[in-house]
Amino acid sequence: MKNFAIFFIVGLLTSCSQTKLRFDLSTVNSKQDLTTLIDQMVKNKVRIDSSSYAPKIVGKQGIHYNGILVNELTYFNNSFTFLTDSTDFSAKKILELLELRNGFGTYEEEDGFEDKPTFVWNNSISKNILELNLLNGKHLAAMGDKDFAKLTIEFHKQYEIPLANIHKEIKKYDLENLYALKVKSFEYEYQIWIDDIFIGNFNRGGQFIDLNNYILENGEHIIRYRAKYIGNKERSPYFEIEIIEWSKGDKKVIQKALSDEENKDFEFNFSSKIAYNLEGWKNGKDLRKDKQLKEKIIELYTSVGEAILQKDKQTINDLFYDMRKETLQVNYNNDFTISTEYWEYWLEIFENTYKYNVSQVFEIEYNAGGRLIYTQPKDKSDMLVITGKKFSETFNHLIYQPRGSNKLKFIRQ
Amino acid sequence: MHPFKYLISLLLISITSTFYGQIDYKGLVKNIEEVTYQTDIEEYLKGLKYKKNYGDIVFDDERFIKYYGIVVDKVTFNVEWSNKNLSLELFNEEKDYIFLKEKLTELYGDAKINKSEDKITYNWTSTKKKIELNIKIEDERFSKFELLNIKLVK
Repeated sequence: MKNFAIFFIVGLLTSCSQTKLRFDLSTVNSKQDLTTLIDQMVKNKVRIDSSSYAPKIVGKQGIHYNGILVNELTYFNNSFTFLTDSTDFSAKKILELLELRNGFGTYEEEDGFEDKPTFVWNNSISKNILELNLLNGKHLAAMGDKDFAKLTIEFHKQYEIPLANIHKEIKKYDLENLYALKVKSFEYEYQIWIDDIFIGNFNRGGQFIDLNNYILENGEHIIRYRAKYIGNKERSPYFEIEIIEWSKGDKKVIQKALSDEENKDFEFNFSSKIAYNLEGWKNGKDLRKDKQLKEKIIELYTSVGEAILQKDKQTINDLFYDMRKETLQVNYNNDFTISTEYWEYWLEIFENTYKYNVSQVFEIEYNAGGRLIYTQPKDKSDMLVITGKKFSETFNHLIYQPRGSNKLKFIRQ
Repeated sequence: MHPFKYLISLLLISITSTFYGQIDYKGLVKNIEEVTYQTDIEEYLKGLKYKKNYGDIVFDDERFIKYYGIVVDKVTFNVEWSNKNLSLELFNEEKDYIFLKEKLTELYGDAKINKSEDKITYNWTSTKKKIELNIKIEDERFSKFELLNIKLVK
């Protein structure tokens, strides 16, 4: 009799688990996984309401999220949303499960009408949005058995091309210092260089320039400026340059130069503490005596224009990969959304462009002992102008030629 | 399905349930009364997800913030030249107000009180802290918290 009772209870438990926990949504990690699971539900005669654009499954039909019962499931294209049961601490369990898997999410307390606390986790695979319906108490610290949750998972499009996955190559460091140059100018025109790289010609007002873009490694750097007063002396001449360092959240001025002279040609040093060490133009060829340089520059921009018209993804990847990787590295930026959005920008260009023009008349600026060049077009707004449906875009980048190669490459934006 | 597979499924579910407890939620709770001028705020909040907003550090997950045992909705840390300011947003519970008023009076003595028709301001001062509690009142009774500001002095 005793044995019969035990078998009866075990049998009851297993049959309950069979009907309750049949389809686990926590195993779904892609649009394909979702389609496969929905197919299994169809085969197992789960009742699906397909009357609207987003099919819906209502009621307890064996769908769960890692053991947490699902009361309602809606799915559409590459996303799905479900509501948990309002029993058994489901909201608390699902929040803690997601935190265990993904770390703490971003907490968004909405001040809207419903005021539901929401957590968001966004990674390269999917965006998870968890909305909590608090019935037990008014805040998260009082979560209880009746609280339930709505979880929406949207799968991101996955691209195989390296340019769309470049964030994986960006190194992170304990010390991620950033440097900038800030100019205050009353009525001056001025030019600035860093380590023999011309940053630009400026007129009258102030400037804020990111310096990491020009720094390849740790060490001493030379800032040079040439300033000329152009005002009518209604205000006293004043020109000031500051080098600002951001280090572990602290911002401080590490070097400063100021002048009230009417003409000033001056240089000063500052020291950077940089964790990265980039190749950049370090081993570039001195291009000052290259007689084919103008043709090579036109050829480089033409190859971009042609690749766009041909929708040649691999060529665009090869032309821009190194420049993109280094420009993200100098800002320590490994955010996957930046890489995805950049690639989607290219896809949009492929889709919309119908013509391009390359400047034929331009001046060449030589930097860093001729190893790094920039071009100033005289016949176009930029070196490459592409035109499309309600759309136009221009390109002009810093260029170098790797030693041992006969072709130019883009290296900075 | 073979009964052995059911047992494996039940075992897996129970193992998963056990692992829910892997994050030490209790150990992560921050008792704001412990913060001093010398506290490195980012180090103090290590392991939790906080936001930085124009030099302020904002932490708003009420599961992990308490002030003398009271659940805090949101805390904003701001560092000035010689002060560290903590701004606390509390849930509007009268019992929290009564407890807090009594607790702070017990610790810092009688507050300097300013009362108007719809507001009461309490100020407690010590050598290391200046605490300002502001509440709204309706018909002479607590209606809601306006401000709880703690200034930590060097």
